Amino acid sequence: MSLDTPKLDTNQRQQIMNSVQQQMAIQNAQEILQKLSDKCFKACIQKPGSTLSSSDQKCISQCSDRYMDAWNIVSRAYGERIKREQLRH
Amino acid sequence: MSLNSLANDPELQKFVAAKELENQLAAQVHHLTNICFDKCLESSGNVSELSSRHTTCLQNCVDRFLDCTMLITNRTIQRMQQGR
Repeated sequence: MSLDTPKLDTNQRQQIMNSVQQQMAIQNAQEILQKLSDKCFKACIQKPGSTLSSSDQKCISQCSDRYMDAWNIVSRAYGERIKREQLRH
Repeated sequence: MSLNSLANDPELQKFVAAKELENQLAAQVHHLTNICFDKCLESSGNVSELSSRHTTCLQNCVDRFLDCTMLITNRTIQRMQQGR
């Protein structure tokens, strides 16, 4: 492979695309994790003790499940709204 | 492989543009979930299941927030056009 060659071959292109895809997935997961921790800590841990009690853990588990449920509902509602807007214009 | 080959590759550019759009949409969903979770599930975020009331609230929240954004955008544009 010459450094003067301006064209990407299929393999290189695919590699770059995969890499971008992966980066985005990681970024997305990080974003969700950050929000989950913030929200559920705030909702479930009023007075931080020396450990997470089992009720704390249950609260946090349920909270994070509900947040993911909410994320899916919002994602679907947003997608449908976009479709409706596109049909209108 | 130089930056030039990346910039000049039309298929890659198309892919990147599509991904950027996808990113923007995902960011909106994160933002909306953040706001609507607080609005609709504030005190009951740790129930064992979302009720239909919760679901409806979340759906309405998305639509109302977007309505709100559009209204504000239009109003702001109006103001700018009027030179205020």
